Amino acid sequence: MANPILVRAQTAHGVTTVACLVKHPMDSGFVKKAGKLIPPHYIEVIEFTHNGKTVLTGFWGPAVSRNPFFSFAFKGGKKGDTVGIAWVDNKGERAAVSAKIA
Amino acid sequence: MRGAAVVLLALGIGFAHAAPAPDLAAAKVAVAAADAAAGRARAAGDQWMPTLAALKAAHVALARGDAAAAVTAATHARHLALLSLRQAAEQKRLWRNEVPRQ
Amino acid sequence: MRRWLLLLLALAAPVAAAAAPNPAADRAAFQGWFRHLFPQLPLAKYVDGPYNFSASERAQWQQIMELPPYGFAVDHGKALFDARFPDGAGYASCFPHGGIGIAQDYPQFDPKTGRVVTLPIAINRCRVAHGLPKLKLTTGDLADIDAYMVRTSRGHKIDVVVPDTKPALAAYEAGKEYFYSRRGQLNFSCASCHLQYPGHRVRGDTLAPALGITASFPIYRSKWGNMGTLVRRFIGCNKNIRSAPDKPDSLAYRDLEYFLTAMSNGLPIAGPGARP
Repeated sequence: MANPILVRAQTAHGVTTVACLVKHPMDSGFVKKAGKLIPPHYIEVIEFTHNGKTVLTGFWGPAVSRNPFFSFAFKGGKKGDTVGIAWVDNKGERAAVSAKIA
Repeated sequence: MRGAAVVLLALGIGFAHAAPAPDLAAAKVAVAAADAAAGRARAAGDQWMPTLAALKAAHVALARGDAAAAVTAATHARHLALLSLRQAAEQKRLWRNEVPRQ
Repeated sequence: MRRWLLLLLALAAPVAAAAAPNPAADRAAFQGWFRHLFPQLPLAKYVDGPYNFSASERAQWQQIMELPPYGFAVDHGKALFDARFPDGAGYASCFPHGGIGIAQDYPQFDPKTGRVVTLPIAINRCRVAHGLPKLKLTTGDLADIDAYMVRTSRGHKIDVVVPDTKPALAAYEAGKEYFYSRRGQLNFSCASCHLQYPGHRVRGDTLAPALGITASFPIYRSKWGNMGTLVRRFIGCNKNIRSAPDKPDSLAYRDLEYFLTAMSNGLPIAGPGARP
């Protein structure tokens, strides 16, 4: 896959911690290379689902770093449940991945 | 009295020589001297980045025909190169002082 | 007359012995110095570099290491490493054990060319031997291949051999002189920071000890946003002290890496690493 997402989801004491590493250039549009601006290319929306139900929506933008690492926790996840991650960037590119909670 | 007159005369000559702006020929000589000193510093393995910056400024000023700026930058570059040469020569001996001993 | 000669010989012998390069004695003194600085820190921990000295940085690092940022580079490096050259051979054919778990033996001294060969340079040599152009030694694909090869060597004890030959010892000694010589407008040597002030701060960064510093390379540096080899860090260090950097494949950097890695013999490979 061109834009892989690495996920790790673990549950302990009723709280599920999801960590992910998203491969994306996240060009802000303000950086120059050889005198020319690199056009903006960044994730606009990233959505985390638990068994198909949205648990977190992130409105990212040009200020987020390249290959961002993101981690959050939610209540109610069980072992073996599915956690899904999907993003869409300003060029309309998309990537999605799902993982089982360990 | 005669001594004082000679000193005044000498000072006067000094001022008279300093007053006119350097011509392009003098600037070329100064830049060539700076180039030679920087070359020696490179050969000694201890080139300073400010030397290169001043050298570049001198070349740019010379190409622009600004003899005064070229002489100023070239003199600065030559002095920095001479300092780095001095540092390299001293370190040939002094580096052993930094080695930990048992 | 004869007595004079004997006396001269007796005087000359210890001087000659002290001046001759002795990597084993140097390593004992080098590692002894760090033991003196940090008596509590076990030797193998030095490969964690700056994270030994800052609890908050260590906590962040441990969180980062759950999903290491160099992961993509290692995967990409593995794909490149496994790909065939146009002539059918692969990188594995150029290295002992098929290139797996060998990073601890580099840099090596090549008696044929009389030069030190680091792992990235060895990868480029392999490419040239199979008719491919050299890759950039600082970052990009080469750093990714390097990252994969180092990843397969993790935990192996660094074992850099300095053969007891004149050219090898001369390269070692040149690296040692480079490490301890002050240079640049700010008049710093490598040792000024990484030997004398490890654990202290230079502005926002914590200085890593020179011992074990090579074990984590190549690194994903957050400041760079991608992978970089040890030579890339050398160039950055030189610029920081206002010293014009050498070429990535220069003898100076090869010899420096040779000396520096030989000083860390016995420490485990911990690369690829993640640094701020």
